[in-house]
Amino acid sequence: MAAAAAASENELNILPYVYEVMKSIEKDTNDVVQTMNELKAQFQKARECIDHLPGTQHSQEEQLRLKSILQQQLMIKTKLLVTYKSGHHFEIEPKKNGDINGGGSFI
Amino acid sequence: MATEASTRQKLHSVIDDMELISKELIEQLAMPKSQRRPDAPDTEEMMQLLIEKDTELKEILKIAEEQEKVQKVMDSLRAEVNKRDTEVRQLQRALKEAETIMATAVYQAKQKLAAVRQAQANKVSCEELIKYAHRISASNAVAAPPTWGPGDPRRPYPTDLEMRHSFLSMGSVPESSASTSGPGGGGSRLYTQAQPSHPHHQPHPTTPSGQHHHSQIPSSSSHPHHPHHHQQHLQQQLPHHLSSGQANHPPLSWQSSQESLGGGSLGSSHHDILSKGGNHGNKDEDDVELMSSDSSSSSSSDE
Repeated sequence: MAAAAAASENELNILPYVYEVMKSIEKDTNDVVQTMNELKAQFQKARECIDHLPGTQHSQEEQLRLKSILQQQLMIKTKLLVTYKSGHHFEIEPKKNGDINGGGSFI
Repeated sequence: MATEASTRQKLHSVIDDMELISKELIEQLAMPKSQRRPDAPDTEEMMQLLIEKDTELKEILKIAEEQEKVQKVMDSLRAEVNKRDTEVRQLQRALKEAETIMATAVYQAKQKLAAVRQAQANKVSCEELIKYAHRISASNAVAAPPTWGPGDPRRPYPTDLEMRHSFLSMGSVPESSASTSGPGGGGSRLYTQAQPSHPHHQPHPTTPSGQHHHSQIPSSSSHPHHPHHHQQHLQQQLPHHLSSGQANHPPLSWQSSQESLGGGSLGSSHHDILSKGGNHGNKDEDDVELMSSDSSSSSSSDE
């Protein structure tokens, strides 16, 4: 289950805790302080959960831009590797009287 | 260009708003109606606002869910990019290594080509090389004789005993041209190479006194198997102190067995020469002659 989906059902579900506080105030019970504390703790948990959500450090547009950059990088590097591993890089000139000095050049 | 706030920042701001609204709402509810401010917002409005904020939070969380999926794809892309980087670095290392190896190989090949050109420019005949090899190895100083074994006293260098009996231990030896001059007359001629005995041998480079020898040598009957000049050269090579009759000198150790073993017909023929040579009747002189004759015999045996 995605972390964001789990968070929305658990840590980021604040309204029930607010409702509990309102109910305890209306009924004038002794649980007001306790419910208030629970509400505070829930807010704290929500903030911690938000900090751990993956992918939320960028905006959606920024993230899509980074993704396209990574895809381009991968394409370029794959093409480079294929070129270096398979291509013929050396031009070998025909030998002249066995002269080793008349050798090839790197493309 | 203003950068858009990240999803995380949006979530934080919504949570902060919800906290403020919930606090305000709880204060309003907790306060008695008589103590409430007149300009205070309505509780229903605050509750409505809280619900809207919660809805906004959930929408942002949906965006966060999609971003999470995109992040997984990006992580896999990044892993692939790192793999390609590693491969490129490996290729780079291999290329560098290949370049070093090829540079070394080219350098060595150039050196070898230069050596080949030099050898082609300065050609030496193989016959000459073989003859020279025979000359320098004839005295068994390069390799032990075939019959040599452990315990054999023979050595390829003069031993202590031989040195004590040599000219060097007897002090300075004056150079003398006459054969009857004295003990030192033939000293300088001791270690010169013998002339080849066989007629169709190429002539050795003779010592400066070589020609001088021929003028001094008295004519004597030569062995039928050896030419006259060889006999003369042999005789002249003998030191005079040996000819004076110092028979106590043992023959050079590494030559004695040649006389006994390998001399054969040559050794006996040399003995004949020596016996017939009038001035030299010493055993040491025989050995010296054997030494010089051996070199010539070994060279003659090649043909």
